[in-house]
Amino acid sequence: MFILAYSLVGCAPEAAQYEYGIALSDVEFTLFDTTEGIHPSVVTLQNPHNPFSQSMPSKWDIESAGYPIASFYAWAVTLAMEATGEHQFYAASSLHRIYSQELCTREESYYVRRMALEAYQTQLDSFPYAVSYSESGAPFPIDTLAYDAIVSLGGDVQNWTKISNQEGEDILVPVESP
Amino acid sequence: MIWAALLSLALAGSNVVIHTDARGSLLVADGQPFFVQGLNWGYVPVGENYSYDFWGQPESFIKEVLDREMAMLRDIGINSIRQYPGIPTHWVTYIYNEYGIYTMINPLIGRYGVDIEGVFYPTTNYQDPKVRTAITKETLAWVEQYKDTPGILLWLLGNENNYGLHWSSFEIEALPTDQQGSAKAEHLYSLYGVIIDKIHAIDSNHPVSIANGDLQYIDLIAQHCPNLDILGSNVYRGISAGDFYKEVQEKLGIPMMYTEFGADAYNAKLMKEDSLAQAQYLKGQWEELYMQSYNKGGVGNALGGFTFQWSDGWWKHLQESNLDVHDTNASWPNGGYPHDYVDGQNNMNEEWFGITAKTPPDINGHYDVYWREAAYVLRDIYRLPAYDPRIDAKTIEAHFAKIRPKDYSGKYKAEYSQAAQKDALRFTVKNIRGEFSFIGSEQPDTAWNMDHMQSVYLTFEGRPTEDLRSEVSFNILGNVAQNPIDEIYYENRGLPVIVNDEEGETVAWTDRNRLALYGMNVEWNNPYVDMQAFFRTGHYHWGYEGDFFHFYQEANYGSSIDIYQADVPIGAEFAFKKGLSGLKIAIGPQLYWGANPSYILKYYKETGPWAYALVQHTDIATQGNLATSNVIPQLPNTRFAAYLKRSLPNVDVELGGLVSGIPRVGQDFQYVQEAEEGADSHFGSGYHLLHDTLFWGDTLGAKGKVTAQFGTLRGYVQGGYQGILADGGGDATKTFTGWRLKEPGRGNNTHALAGMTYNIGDVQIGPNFLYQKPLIGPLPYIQGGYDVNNGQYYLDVDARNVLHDPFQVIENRETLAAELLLTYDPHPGSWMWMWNNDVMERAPFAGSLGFVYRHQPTIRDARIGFNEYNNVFAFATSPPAQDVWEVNARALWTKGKDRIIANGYFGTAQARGDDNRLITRAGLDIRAWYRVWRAECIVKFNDWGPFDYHRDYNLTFPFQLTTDFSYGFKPPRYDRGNPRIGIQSKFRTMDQYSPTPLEGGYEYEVRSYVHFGL
Repeated sequence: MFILAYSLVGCAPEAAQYEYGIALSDVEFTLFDTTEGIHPSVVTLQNPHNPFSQSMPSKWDIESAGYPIASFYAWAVTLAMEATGEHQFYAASSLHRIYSQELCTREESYYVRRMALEAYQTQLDSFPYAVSYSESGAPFPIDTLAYDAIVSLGGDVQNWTKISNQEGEDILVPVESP
Repeated sequence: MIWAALLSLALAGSNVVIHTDARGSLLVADGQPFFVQGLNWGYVPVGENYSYDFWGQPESFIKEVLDREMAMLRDIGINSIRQYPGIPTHWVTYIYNEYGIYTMINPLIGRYGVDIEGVFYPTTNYQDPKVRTAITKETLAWVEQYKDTPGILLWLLGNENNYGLHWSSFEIEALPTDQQGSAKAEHLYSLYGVIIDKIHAIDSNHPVSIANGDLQYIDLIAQHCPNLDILGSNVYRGISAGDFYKEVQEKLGIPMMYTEFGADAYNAKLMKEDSLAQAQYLKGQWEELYMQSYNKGGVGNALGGFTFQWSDGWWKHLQESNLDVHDTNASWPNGGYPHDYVDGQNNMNEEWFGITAKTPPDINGHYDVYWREAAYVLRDIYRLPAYDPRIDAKTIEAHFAKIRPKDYSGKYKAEYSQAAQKDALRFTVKNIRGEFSFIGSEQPDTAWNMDHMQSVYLTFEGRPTEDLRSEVSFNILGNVAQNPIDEIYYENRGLPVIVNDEEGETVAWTDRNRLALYGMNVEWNNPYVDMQAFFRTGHYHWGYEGDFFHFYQEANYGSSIDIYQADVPIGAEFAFKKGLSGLKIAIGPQLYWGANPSYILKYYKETGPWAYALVQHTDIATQGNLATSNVIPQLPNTRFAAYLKRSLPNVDVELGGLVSGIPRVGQDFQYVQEAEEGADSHFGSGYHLLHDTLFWGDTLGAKGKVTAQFGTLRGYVQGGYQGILADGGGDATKTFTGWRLKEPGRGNNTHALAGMTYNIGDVQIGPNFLYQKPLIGPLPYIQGGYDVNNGQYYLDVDARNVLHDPFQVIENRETLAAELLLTYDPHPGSWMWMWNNDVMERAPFAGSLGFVYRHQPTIRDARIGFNEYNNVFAFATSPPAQDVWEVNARALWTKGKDRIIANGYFGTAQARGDDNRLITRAGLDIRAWYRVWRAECIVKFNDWGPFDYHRDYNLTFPFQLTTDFSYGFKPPRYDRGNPRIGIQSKFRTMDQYSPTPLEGGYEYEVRSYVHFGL
């Protein structure tokens, strides 16, 4: 009976609330955890600032809308629910854009850059030779894109080096351990 | 002189009269003074119960039994037995001619219910003119049938009917409580008086007696039964009946006889067999009968008696279970037996009244009996001819003084090997069942191939003390066949698996899981509590004893727990006695399939026309073990229910209140509202999406039910409201008949039910209606996305499900339903809707035809299923809003234990997962038992396969056929794996909707098997 009484006290009904859509332009970045969006972390699913944390979002719809913060949260959730190189790459790419477009505070900027670098590196190490797909469905490699992005962020690529193959295309090969 | 006079009274043939003079009364049977040295005799093998039809057995079997047992009765000196109508007249004559034993025929006068115009009434209302007419007509028909049969001794009416006056009427309810019993008894005894006179009118050759419960209402007997010839009475007063004889003489002035008396052979205080005490009681009781018989200087009105009883009735405690267990539960207290009486405790052990002990039956159903001391003592007693003119009180005293029951203890123990039996009872192999199969099969991707399987079940029984009994069963595998077309079966736990060894090489692990604990049951019965602990052995629900919201669900799952290798149910149940009588507690990790680890407390009491109950159920953890999607996991709960019932004349009123779902108060949930035409909605879905928080008011529920019966018309109405969280359980009780429409059980509903049955002769018409609607409707799946027009992103909305949401709409989906059930059941005593009707039905033919239509205007929430990796997941949505209907039929043809049972169905049904296809299916299951032969044929058209995932994913076969034909080395039993040899086949065709989507495909299996068992 104690449990019953305890449960009943102070619980009065509140009016139901309508749920509306999320304005992607209004989604703000809040640094929650420096592993967010980096495999194998799934911390984003517990992030109260992530509006997509409870269900798998339509990632391409959000990506194409052009709001990097919303994209980051969408890709982070997608990565947590289904770990692939493509998801990791776009999570890194979103962080990269948040950093470069200064969509976070100055204090957060330092961490966001490091998160982007780590996310790209994770994509290379955990999902080597991953590809993404164009709108027409044609695959294209994303590892070289990640390589270039690390370089553009002023980072050092670990474990991989870029070479040209016989067709003159850039490819990544692992660096031999000494 | 007296003997010459008596002889003159006698007529030729079967003629029994009472002679009375100043020295008392005696019976004269066919011209001879007849001291009733009677016995309550019956033949029920261990493992059978009240339904065992001895007189329906083959004639040769009956003759063998009678020749063996009646010879013993004759040797003891027993000269009469008591039998209910049903004994064929030629066997009455046979027993009389061959063994000189008379038969007293005992119509029961509605003692255990009455059948009127096809309706069986378990409580007999002796006030009802229809009841009185029906009973009178039936009784006189019996008399007509037997009266000219040689060997009939007399008529005995009823059996303690004065203890069964439980009906209600407005007139009687209006009387003060202490007068209500007498008022009812007036109707009983006035009926006796009428029937006695009518019997006298058609049969002057046999006296009429009644089997009263002791001397209760003796004044009413005097008033209403002036022509009663003999007062018969079931008397359990201990070693002496005291002033019984004198009171009968003074108030009735007629002779008396005991129709039941004696003592049980079990000491409830010491919790061990005590056959010596039984013999001592019987010795004293018979000495008193002799002393009070004709011309002994006493009252002189004792004609003799019928000792209760010949052999132990192993079925009497529980009556339908533990039939092969000699229960030691004492069921009522009696201070007349002080050797094992303790104030406030029961000491009468109903299963131990035999003057002989019995062995389990052999392969043909025969068993042996071993005389307890009581049987030897009776033999010695009867050597004294009660009506020899030379016998007086002094002679009797001397005769009985020489009889020493203890002299026979050694003989009984030696013969029955009591000590050895007890040692054996400490640990015995109770059953061995072996199943050897040879299986051939062919499937679309597998050519014809053969395999074999061996599966052995061992059951051990242990009795470390007299009040503690346990059974443990193990399953041992030999080879496990890899080719059955039904890929899920109990033994497949032992199939080989591929593993990596220490070197990383793949190897086949072929001998895993060879031994499994199959089931366990522990019973502990002591004066304070009856405990039953169970593991994979079933238990019943508490729906008929105050569990109005069905917290404690029945857990008898048949073969399902084997198929899915589920370790359910598991827990323990305690039924308290004495000062805590009415209190029950169940506790366990999974009390029924899907239950969380929990405990349930119930206190239930009946007081006159009132009954009430309080029930509490608390989950103490969350269930992590789910074996099949057939079972929906229970959300963690704490709940309370109160129940009140008032029985009025012809009407019962039941009310209940509920608080349920307390742990989920405060949780958020979503729901939808339809948007107005053209208005903005959630990503253009037409719905507004809302979220809310559950509050305490969502835990409340209430329910009311009124049942009424007026002659052959019966009806009920029920209404209920259960808040969003106020979950009850599924209703396993039956109201009047076998209706399928029931309350939803789950919370989040309002519901109303109403139905009626009306009997026309043996045909019953039963319409029934249901309306139910969830308080919060189902949550449809809505695809989210980005709206470029307003720059907003809309989240996906998933259908509600048990894995992620605090409540669901499943069984409680909005439904308006109607059903019509027609039943032909000319033997309502073996009710068609009893769970064991397949074996219990006695009617030569009984059948039913039902039609159910469900209008389902909305969808429901999502159910769960298993994916290919055997992980539980929730389906994205549910099948659409669709109406469904079904026709069901059942028919039984019986002749004794031989029978044909047919069950059929035809109708539409929805998948459990999210497939939209509505299937139209049909099926027929026919089983035939003839002696030791058994045949079964199951045919299904366009129906799901045998497993849960077939219905989850809507996988059907165009045609399925299963046949099974076997020969048994024993007659088939419902609850036993009797030794059998047989052949079974399965055949299925396939189409695009089958698990293997192959138009024109088929698969089949042929299996020969040998099952052996004890």
